Amino acid sequence: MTDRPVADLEQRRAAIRPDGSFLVQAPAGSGKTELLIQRYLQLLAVVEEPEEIVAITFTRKAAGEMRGRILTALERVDTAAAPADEAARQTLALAAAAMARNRERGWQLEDSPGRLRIQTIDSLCGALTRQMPVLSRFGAQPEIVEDPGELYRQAAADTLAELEGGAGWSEAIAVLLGHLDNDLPRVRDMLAEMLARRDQWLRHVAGEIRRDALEAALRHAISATLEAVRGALPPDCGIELAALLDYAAANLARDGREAPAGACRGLTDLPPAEAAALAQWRGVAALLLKSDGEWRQAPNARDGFPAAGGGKAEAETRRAMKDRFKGLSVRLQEEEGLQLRLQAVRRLPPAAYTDAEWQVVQALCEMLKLAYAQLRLLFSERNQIDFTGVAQAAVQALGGEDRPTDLALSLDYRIRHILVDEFQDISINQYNLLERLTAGWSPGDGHSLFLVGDPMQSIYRFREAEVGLYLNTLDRQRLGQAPVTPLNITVNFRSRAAIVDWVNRTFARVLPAFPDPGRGAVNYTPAEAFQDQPPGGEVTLHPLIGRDDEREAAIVLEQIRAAREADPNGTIAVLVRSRPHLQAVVPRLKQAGLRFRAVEIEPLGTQPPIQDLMALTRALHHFADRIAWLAILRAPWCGLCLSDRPP
Amino acid sequence: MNKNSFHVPGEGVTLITASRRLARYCRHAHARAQLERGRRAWPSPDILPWQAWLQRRWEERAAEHADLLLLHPYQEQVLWQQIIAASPWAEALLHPANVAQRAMQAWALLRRHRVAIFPPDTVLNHDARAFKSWADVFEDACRQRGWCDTETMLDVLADDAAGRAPGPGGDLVLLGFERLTPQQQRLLAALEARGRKVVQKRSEGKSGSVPVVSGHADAGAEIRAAAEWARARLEEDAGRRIGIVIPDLHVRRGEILRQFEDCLAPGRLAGTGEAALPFSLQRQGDRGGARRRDREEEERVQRARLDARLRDYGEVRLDLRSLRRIAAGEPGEDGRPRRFLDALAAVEEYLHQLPRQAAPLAWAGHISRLLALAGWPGGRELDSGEYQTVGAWREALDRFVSLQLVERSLDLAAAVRHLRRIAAGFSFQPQTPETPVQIMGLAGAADMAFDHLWVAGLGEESWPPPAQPNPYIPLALQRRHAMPGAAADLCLAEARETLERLLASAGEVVLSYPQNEGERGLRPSPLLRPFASGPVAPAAPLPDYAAQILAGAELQAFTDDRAPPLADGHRSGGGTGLFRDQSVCPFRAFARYRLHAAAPEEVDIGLGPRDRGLILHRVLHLLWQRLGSQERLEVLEESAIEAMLAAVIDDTVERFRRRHPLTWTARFTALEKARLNGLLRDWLAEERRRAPFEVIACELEQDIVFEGLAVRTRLDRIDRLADGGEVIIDYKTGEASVNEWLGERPDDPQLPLYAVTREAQVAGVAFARLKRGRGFGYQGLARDAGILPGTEDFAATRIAAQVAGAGEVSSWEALLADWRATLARLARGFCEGDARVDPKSPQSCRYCDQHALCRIHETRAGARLEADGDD
Repeated sequence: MTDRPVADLEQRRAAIRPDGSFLVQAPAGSGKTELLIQRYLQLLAVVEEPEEIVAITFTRKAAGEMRGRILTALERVDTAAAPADEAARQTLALAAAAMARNRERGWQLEDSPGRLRIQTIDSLCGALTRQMPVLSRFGAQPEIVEDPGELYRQAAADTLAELEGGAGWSEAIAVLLGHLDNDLPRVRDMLAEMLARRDQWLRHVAGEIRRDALEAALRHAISATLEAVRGALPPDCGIELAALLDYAAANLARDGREAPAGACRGLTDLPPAEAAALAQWRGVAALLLKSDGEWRQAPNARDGFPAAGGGKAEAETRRAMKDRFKGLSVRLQEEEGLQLRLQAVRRLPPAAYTDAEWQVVQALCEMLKLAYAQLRLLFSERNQIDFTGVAQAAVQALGGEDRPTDLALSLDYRIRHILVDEFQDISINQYNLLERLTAGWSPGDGHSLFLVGDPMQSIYRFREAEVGLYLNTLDRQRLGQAPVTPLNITVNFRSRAAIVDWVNRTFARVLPAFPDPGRGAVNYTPAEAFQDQPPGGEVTLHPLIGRDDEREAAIVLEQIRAAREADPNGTIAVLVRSRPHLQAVVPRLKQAGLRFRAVEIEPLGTQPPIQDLMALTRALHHFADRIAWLAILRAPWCGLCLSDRPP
Repeated sequence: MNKNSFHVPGEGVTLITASRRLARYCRHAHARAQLERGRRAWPSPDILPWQAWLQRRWEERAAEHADLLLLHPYQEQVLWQQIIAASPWAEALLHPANVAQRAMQAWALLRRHRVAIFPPDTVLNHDARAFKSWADVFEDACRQRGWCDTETMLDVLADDAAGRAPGPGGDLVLLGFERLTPQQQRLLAALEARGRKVVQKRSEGKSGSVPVVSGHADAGAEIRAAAEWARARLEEDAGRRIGIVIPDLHVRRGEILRQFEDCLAPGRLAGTGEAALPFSLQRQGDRGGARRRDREEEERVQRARLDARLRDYGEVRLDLRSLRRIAAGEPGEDGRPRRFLDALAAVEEYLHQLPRQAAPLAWAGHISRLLALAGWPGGRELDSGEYQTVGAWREALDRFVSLQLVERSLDLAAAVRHLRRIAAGFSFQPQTPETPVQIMGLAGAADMAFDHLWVAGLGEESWPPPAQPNPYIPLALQRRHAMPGAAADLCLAEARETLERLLASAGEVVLSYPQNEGERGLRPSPLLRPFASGPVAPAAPLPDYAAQILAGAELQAFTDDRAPPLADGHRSGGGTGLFRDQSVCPFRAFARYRLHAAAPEEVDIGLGPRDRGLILHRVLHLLWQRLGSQERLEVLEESAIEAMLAAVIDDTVERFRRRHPLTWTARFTALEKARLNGLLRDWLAEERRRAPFEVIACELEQDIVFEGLAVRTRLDRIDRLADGGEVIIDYKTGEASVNEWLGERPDDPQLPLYAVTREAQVAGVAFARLKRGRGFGYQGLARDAGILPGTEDFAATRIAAQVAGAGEVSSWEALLADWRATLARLARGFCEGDARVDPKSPQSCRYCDQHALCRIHETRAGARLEADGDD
């Protein structure tokens, strides 16, 4: 990087102002971490104690890296020559100011780097619960279980054991078991899965479950989808569409055929976007789209458009109607987004529960509550907790909206500034936590909130993240009560122009055109290449017909060789969709003598030595494990053959 | 050899150490010095740790005053627990018992810093208010009953000392105290005022030693390096004293033990006790000290067999009665674990005699008796560590008995809970002979003297340790009194001091840190900055014996896919599953039907697929026995069918219920009956859709010989049609498709086998698919249309076109001939000993349990298997 102004410099400058709160959308390669570091350093220069700044990263690794870079920046203050590039120069200047503050206040940061509170949200929650043991209801910190699957299963099994308990819930369990084929292990596993996601449903089942409220929600969801379809249909085609549907419905009725369009008898214009008209909208969708979701080109008798038979006039009409359909269909196919929305109509649930369904829903809610209680009991018995439990306890400790906890009394340092990285991956629990931590903050009172993220990267759906929370924050320009100013940084320093352009072109088509917080849909925001990037760099597609891992691996190897020839010191990354796609690549890389770094790529458990060790362990663990004992005899250290079997 | 004389008190002087370990070390040092002077007997020096000294003073006091009773820490803990549990805060707490420990820490901190609870000007938060309410009750309780807790004891002793006239008493020398608390200072000052001389000593610094800083790839490599370094130093001079300090010692015990054993005692076999090792590890409490070790060698096999039977029985939880019933059911006297059975009987009998409520003293007796009846610790000779563990257990029982003071009457469950808690918190240090290498935590290292010292784990994040203020004490108060861990600057100062002391305690000091933790890079502690990094590893690395053995092995690659052929007329002992396995993977058939390779069953709640299948088979069997034919089904009144259904379901369920009373609870039974009823009603509708038939056999067991191979068959059902043709039916409660019968390697050739071995004319074969959802109903092939609902004339199917030889005979005949040829090939393969590991597809391996035996992962097929496994 050399000294050239960056196109979004204004936004970057704004983002480090310590008196402002921001939501920064920062795409991949935009120097997001540098921005976080700069802001952190800037804040250090204005706080009383370093603990007043809390930076939240998504992983411990990211926390470690950020801390490392900040400390390095601070260390360099006295030694480094002025760097050439603008960003590094600014970082150095900010670090110098922070160091001055460090000396002035006697923080001894250079010897107490632990005072920099850069941590994951899990560790923040842990710290909060440790400082407020009674408020968080932990009393003492339980052991945090990284893989609580076994606890969930046990709690679910304990729940099912209540079948004979005789309490009110026994009936609920019986209803649910009856509904699910009395298959205990399956119901247990389903409950266990629900317990893992309890942050998403707990607040919904906590109160009274009311059928009318839930059905109103269903109707609301339905009409929202219908609204969207209605909006996507050109207004002037309503009458024509209605006429075609009415025609189809009449034919279906006459021929005694069942099809969704049958509900559209007598239609004269588009049906209203209400749940009551769902059947008619299903008719619309079924006529326009085939069952695979593609546009219908030519309807037939099953759809209410019989072949041109019958009398002459009749045949004429039938042909004409088919032509009118084609005409309309061709027009509608031009409408952007219409097809997706019609598909959504087909997936809509009915607007009301049957009585039997409602009974099951009620039983399920009852059981979820019971399962949660069993889980708490188990946590208490074993003195363990999961991350969700810690987050819940932290939120609990911070108090409700009406009665917030006085943090000044409970925390060792007042939290004045919060920075959150990867904000798009925040979960509802974590969002609530931030809401409570920032309760009562107002602009200009010395607090600040800094959220950085890229909603386009939220597709990984990591640990129940909800990008909708990001979008809502953006939409309302505040998190809870704390206002945030949206900023957009767009310059990509990492990739060359050709790649940025390709990604801009491609992903604009991959992602939907409009964001939709309810569904977690995000549209694409284009990036700009940093103008000083050297030219070159391009995206090449190597299509293969059918899945052919070996051929694919050969191409990968070829590309790597070419790249190394062109630039022997360059770094090369190979990305795959999932681990199995590397099965063919890794051996080839090894064969070619290429050294590479791959994390958790080769499964250890299936390596023959590990299999032998497991057999040995199993055999010692259980004398009656015949497979394991036989496997030991066949292992290399013993080497019996099949033919060595005694007669 | 260290000869620091300060470790040895003179005549009439008491040496008080900060830790037990240090006291032991000083006694050893003294003994060594005496031996070197050629003495064979000498007066014991007065060396003891602080706690023991206090205890002694307390006893001296108690001889004069009987006003106060000193509580044992566990009694205190139970008292706190009771107080917290009775407080209004308890209900919401996840784990009230654990709160006691944290509250006791707060109590101790406040006492040690001589801070009231709380000074009048203190602003309290929610947590501090809760603590204050507990502490008030605790104080009251102690005052009223004349109890004194461990932390208050010092104040009492100090008050006593201050109030008394000066008296005799030798000098006191304190060793290893990093900082004296205000409470300690007050007591010592009071003693000084009475004329006793108190001297605080520190280790004499090994001046001139410059530490070396050493980074290692990760925490594991760090430990390994320390172990190799210790070995190298010992090799230079076996008389050296070597200290290894590992801050998180207690969480990494196993790993540390392994590495040091590997380096310092490579010839030892794992798991033979720690007694004879050339190093010793400081203990941090022995979790589960009373863990049962079963060495009833001669019964091992019988017990394993019993376990297999229990798994087969399939109940997740068992009561003692069922357990005894099943254990006694093993055929043959030799097959039964006699000792175990006897112990069970004795335990069960004794359990019946137990009182509902009793005092701790009585429970201690009952529990010891129960353990003895169950055969613990058993007759085997215990090694030294085990012997000491049993001793510690007795001590734990004593502690439990001491609860009498605070818990008068409790039930067995509560007694066991207490004992668990006591055992878990029991910190006992087995006496090991003085070893040249001492491995310890940070606290154990203060003021010990070593020739060489290695301090591990000095990473940026752990050193200085982060501030951890006690949540029950207002922070301002903690900071004002500089309570440990209250704030970053205090932690930093303490860390600096500790490091200084460590540096002074040995001639050579290595300070090490891990550079990575998994994917995360770590940095060294900033306190290491003044020191230079350097190499510490010995020039020649230790021989890696495991690698040498491995390198010495000459691996030979060979193909092992042929077993000896089967003798003529051999009974495979297997059923038709043999054909399925032979078809899907010949090795699997060999393993299962010739080696009888099976793993113990996994047990789960409710009904497993196997039981569900058995139940349904039986219900249908009984039902068709009564119905006989479709005609009967048609003519019977709805109510009669309903009654029949109810009867056969009741009959079947009752049979299973008797065997598994624990699973078949009342509601479960009702649910299962309702499920079966619904399923069967829907199924009868399917039966009505068929062409008329009469059921001629249900669950028909036959031994047949096919191509020289004897197999046991069990046909679910055979129906006869009006024209005399037979339809062979197999009930399926899982997935099923006719495709499983087709091809060179059919996935499930059971029905084809029945079809080609029936003498009568077979007109159709079908799966009766009893799984709800898509595909419920008959899935089959039939000679003519109309035999099975939805099944066309075979000649018209797509499958018919693929069957070879059609044209000369009817395509149905050709299909049967094709099946016969395929099955004959499979039978021949099995008889000839074909045992190739040749899964038909990666899916074939998915639910196979033979991977360890077939060694599939050594082949390309195994790699593909993995690739397919987690897409």
